[in-house]
Amino acid sequence: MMILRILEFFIFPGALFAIVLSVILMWLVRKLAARMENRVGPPFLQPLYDFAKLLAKERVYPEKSMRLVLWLIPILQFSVALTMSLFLPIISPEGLISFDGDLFFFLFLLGIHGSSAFFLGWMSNNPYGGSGSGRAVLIELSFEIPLSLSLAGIANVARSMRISEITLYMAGVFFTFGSFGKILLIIPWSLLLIISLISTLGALEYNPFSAGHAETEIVAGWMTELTGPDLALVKMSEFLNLTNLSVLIAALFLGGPPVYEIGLYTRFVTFLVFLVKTLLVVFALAFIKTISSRLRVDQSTEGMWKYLLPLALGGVILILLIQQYGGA
Amino acid sequence: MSITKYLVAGKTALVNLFSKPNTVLFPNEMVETSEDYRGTPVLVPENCTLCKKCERICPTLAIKIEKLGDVEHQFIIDLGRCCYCGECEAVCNFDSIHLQNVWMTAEMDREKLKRISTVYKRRKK
Ligand code: SF4
Ligand code: SF4
Repeated sequence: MMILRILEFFIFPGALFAIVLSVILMWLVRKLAARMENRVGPPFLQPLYDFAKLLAKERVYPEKSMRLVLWLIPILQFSVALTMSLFLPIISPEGLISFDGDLFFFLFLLGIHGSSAFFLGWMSNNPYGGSGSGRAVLIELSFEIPLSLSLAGIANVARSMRISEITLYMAGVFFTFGSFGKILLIIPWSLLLIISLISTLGALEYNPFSAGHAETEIVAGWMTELTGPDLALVKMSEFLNLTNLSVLIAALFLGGPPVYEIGLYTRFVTFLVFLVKTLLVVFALAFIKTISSRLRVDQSTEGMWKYLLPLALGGVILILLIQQYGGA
Repeated sequence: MSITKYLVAGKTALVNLFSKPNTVLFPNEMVETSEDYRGTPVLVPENCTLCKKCERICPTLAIKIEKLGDVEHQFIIDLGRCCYCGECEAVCNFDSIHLQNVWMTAEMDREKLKRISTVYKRRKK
């Protein structure tokens, strides 16, 4: 039993599976973006080849940079991203780690991941790295609150702060459109879904919030001085974060892997449904990423604070009102 | 920043998603070039009379004709020097050098860029 549990953590649906899934999802995002831009796009598993190539490269540190930080933070980012992946509901609504309030622990880990980028750029003693990390942390500060608010709204719908309970509730809610109030909830639900998708783009530093590593302007932003295995780990944690966030949104908004009792195939079908929902979210992310162009850092922070945050607040208040008076 | 622009972009993206891509997966497939594309110069040794007109006109000194034996000559086209100007093709009276539409010439070693062929001098009749 113990061995089975360990295998679950390390292989399926734990660390190894998360890494494999992230590589595939990353490939999918790149491929979809390429096809939408009328390009052929990378061959299958190209992100894995990139990762392996970077692992084999030599480490080069700039003069007067803080080597310890440049060496440690990629490891921190990778382990944080891997820890986040253990919370994900993959073959059952319950993730490998699950406790009351794990949703906000997840967001806390996301915050650590995002803000660690600041130290990387700052300690690398490079003007590109410095300005890139400043921008990254500004964008991080602005997307975090709308994202938390929209997830809080969904947590309010399910009246729980546990990912598994929200997932179960959302999986069931589609079949129980009983009262008028529940149908009304679709409005704030779609609003919050869009807001969390947009904030996810910010978390992953995709277009339009990619000012943190605007290639034409500041080379690779806070990643400029990273080399070899360090860069590989940072990239891998980026891949993992794509999985983490898309699976989380698929779980919280679309119901993730539901439990249909169909005998032998229950787990398989559950997993399949999970995959379909995740792919939907990934497609939406790739689509928005492709059709939008990079915003300046002041534009993206302004957009997030001026429009996204009030909208998210409005969504949460709407949910509370509907719950109070609509009888949802 | 108007919403209609995003709608247009979104429609274009969706149309592109289901149409044939403009690019190819490079090392496996290549873009086709036209017939009269000026690629690498290739010699037809049977036609060459060793008049050395091309060697003289080549602006980058890419062509070298060396005598090996009584009749045997070595005709070297150094693609590392060639600028694909097409002068050699224009000047040859015997239709024996052509710029073909081969453009993948990358090599790891400079020496391998030399295209060497042997030409035998024809006896005067
Ligand atoms: S290729 Fe043509 S121009 Fe050059 S030596 Fe031969 S015959 Fe003369
Ligand atoms: S194409 Fe021009 S540069 Fe090249 S071998 Fe002929 S004459 Fe010389």
